Amino acid sequence: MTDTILRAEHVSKRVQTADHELTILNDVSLQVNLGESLAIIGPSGAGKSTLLGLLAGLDTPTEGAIWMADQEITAMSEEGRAATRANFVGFVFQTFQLLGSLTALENVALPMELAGDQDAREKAQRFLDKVGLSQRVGHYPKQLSGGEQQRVAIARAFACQPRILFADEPTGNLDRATGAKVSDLLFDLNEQSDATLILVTHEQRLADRCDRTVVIDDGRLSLAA
Amino acid sequence: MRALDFKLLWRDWRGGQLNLIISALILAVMVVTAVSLLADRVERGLNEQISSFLAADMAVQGSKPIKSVFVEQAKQDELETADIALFSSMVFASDKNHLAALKVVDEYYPLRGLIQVSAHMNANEIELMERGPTAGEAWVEARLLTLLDIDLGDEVEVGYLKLPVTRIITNEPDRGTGFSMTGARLMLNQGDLAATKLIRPGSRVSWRLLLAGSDGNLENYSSWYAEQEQADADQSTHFRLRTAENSEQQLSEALQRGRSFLLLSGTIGVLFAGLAMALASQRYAQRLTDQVALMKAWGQSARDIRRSQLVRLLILTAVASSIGLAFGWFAHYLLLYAAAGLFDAHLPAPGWRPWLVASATGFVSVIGFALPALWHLPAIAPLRVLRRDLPDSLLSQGRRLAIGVAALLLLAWWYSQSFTIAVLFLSALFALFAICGFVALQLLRFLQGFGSWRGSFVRLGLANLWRRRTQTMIQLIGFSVTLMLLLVTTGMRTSLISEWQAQLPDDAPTHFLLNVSSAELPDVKQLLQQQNVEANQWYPMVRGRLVGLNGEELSEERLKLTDGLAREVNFTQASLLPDENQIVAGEWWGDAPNRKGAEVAKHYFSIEEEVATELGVSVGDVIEFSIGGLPLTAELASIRTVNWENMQANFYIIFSPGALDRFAPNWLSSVRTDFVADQQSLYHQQAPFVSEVVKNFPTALVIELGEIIERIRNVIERVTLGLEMILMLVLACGGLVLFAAIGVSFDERLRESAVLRTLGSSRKVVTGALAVEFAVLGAIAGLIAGAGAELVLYLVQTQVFELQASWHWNLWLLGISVGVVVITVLGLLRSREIITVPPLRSLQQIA
Repeated sequence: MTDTILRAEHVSKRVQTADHELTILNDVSLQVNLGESLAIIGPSGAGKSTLLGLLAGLDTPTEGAIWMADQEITAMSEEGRAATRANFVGFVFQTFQLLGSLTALENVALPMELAGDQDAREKAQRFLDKVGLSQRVGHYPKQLSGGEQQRVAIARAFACQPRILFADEPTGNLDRATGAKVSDLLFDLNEQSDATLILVTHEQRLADRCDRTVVIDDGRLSLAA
Repeated sequence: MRALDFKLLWRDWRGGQLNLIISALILAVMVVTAVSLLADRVERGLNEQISSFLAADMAVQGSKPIKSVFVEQAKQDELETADIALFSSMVFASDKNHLAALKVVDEYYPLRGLIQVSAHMNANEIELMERGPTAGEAWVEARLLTLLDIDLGDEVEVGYLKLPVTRIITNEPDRGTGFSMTGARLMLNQGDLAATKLIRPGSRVSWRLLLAGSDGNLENYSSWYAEQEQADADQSTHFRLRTAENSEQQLSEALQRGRSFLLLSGTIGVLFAGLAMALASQRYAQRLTDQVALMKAWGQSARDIRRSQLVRLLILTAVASSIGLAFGWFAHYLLLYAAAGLFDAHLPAPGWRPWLVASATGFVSVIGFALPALWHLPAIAPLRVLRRDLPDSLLSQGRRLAIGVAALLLLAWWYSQSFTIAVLFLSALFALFAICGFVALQLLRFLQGFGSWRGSFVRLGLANLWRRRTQTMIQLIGFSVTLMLLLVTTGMRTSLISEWQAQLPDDAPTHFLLNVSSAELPDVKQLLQQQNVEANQWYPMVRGRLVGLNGEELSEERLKLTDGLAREVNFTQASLLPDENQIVAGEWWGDAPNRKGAEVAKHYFSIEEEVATELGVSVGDVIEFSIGGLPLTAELASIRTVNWENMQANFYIIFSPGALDRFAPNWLSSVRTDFVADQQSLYHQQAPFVSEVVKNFPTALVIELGEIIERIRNVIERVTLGLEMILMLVLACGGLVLFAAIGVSFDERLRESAVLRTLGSSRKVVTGALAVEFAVLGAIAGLIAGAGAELVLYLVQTQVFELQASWHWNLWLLGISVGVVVITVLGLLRSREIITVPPLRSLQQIA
């Protein structure tokens, strides 16, 4: 196995609209190394989230190929990609994506429970401690503030010990001060875990904390200045 | 099945997402359990009773001694048999005599049921006997002791034999349902029959071979009997196989219809519960969408998700159905309680079928209503975690509707055991929905225009109704139909009972007196007068049958077209047209029977309209009757309507005066006494005149009517009460539909209310708009229900009961007020979060 954990070659994504074909990504190639943190920045509608979805194996490109840990996920069926995601990937979303009917602890434990981890609850408890929410384990999302919800989401993402963590605008729904705290937490945990972090953001401040930044504009990728 | 599936299900339940689906499922299963348990037990009870009317499972009945082949075949089919013979004979004790109804039984009688006897004069300390009297003793009805003025232990002369009376019979299993015109019962053993020398050639004896055994063996015997009958003319003329079905065929058919009717009324409950389930599942699916997308992003395969989902649904169905079965078990007791007194006998335990039907209802409902709304979930693209605007490939509404209707059809088919009935029933129901929907839409359209100049929250509320008209319509249809059914039963109960009361004026008869001979008549009349008992018109009565029409023989097939004339019926003669009879064709004779001055011996008769139509006879037709084997020819002079419900003596056929004189008729009248029996008394009290009549005129029969009338009144009240209970459960299902329908638009409502309140609308305005919305919804539902119920009642009044139609304003009022109150309260209850949660929280929650 090489140091490269994720590789995209000549990836394009086009979608058919009512009257014409829309190119969202155009011939994007990218390589991410193990343990690296990469920021993908760009204006709204530039194709950042589309690229994130393709890299995470949530979607398939129109053209090109993507390898995750030396496995070509673009050649796999959805079931195959699902298995790969289960092995390698974690997520943090802009809208937190916590399940309203589950407590903080249960939200964190759920992906581990689904993976059949017997110690899911203990691990979840430990990670909630790490994000400073040990007192809120029994609270439901609607009883938590936005920042707290995102901290739960971060605990959930890291508790699974993913090899690659995809974060889609993780501070996008938070005010500046809370956003700063949440991003501190994200980077701290990332350092502790050796996970590869791929972060989509439009905040330069956040991108600056990554090892490397790529800019996407009008579907094309360029290195940050 | 993994522990995690249980855990996920438990969390969904805890989150309140399954409440509605589970409640709807419980209610559906509960309705069907209660109804089918009731129907099953009543049916079993009545079947048991019917077979004990025969004191056997089947019986061969003949006017000649039972042929040995009948017995041999029974042995071959491994059936138990018993021989009995029934005939009338005079019995004596000292100087008294009575024309008694003799029953000669062998040592195997009865095969089904028990004989209730007592060894005490006052008939207490009842013993239940599995066998009849042994040789050398007679058991008699208490009446016979009074008639003969003897005590228990005294001897009674039966033909050439003297037998001591050892027991009083208080009930025998094959006494039958009707009132016997014959004398008091005397039961003796077959071993004594020869010594009585009562049976001689030409004696009128009804011979019976009683049969009992397993269903299969009985069926074999029946088919053998039918084959024999084809080949043997003597058999078909003189013998007949009586089964529970053909003995009490009408009762059985009514029973079948009753069960189908009850279950189909349950279907409406299932339909509403299904609708609620479908709507709730749609909302549940919306909530699960994010969860499923997340799970897929985390690497769960579609197959795992589908499997987990099915397992969870299976557990949910099993648990909810079990609860529904348990609740239904309790509810069926409530129905039984409502029906208390309708069934004399202790009802037997139910079979397995009701449980199966109800459990299957649970599973079919989930497959038909909940599953289609959830089916698409495993196919959700994992990319949805990033892009929530992705379409979610939900099964199309049309397809979901088709699956739901198919499930309903399947259930209705199973309930009614008839595809045609199921299709007709559902078609009628959907037609009703369509009509209600159409009316509701017009009313909504009208109100929408009306709202434009009203105050702010009124306008808002009315606008909401129109804007969400699909949901509004679903709620309206659900509620208006349920309310309508409830109003119809309420109306039937109240108006039917009041009709009864109107039909039974203060001078309604209390007793029927019959079997009074012409010689006794003046004395009976005098006795009644002495006792201050008022008698209505006395009718001479003979039994006979129709045999020919205009010189040609009337075939049995043709007679069978009529409800009443296929068997022997009671004829009378009268000079005056009885009360509440109306001539519709021809004319009533005057006092002179020979109205046209024709030959002296010419007789006329009048026939009831319905049987005249069924028989196809018209005025001027000449009909030949057979009365006690003697012919009588008479010309049809008039056709008349009869009010059968007036509790007076009524006849299909009335002859002109003098026509029946030579047939030694017995006389019949209805009488009225002011004696009121003490209902609290342990012993049944008789009006004093009854014992006087029985003592002085041993062959006369007195039938007490008060009890029968009370019983009929009771039956109607209890049946409708039971039906109302079922409909209340159906209404509860309607309530769930309302909850579910509000649930569908809940997020939208929450957002709107938050926006309104953020923009400065007071809580009062938001609450007011919701209250207006629900109250108007309730009022429209009530209005449609009132109108529908009025229409149904109008049809029932005019077509079924042939009464004057009347308005039922109270029902309209009841419908509208129940609609407004129930829907407003339930609606506001379901929407309280919309009103109480601070707007910022609402907006965050939806985001």
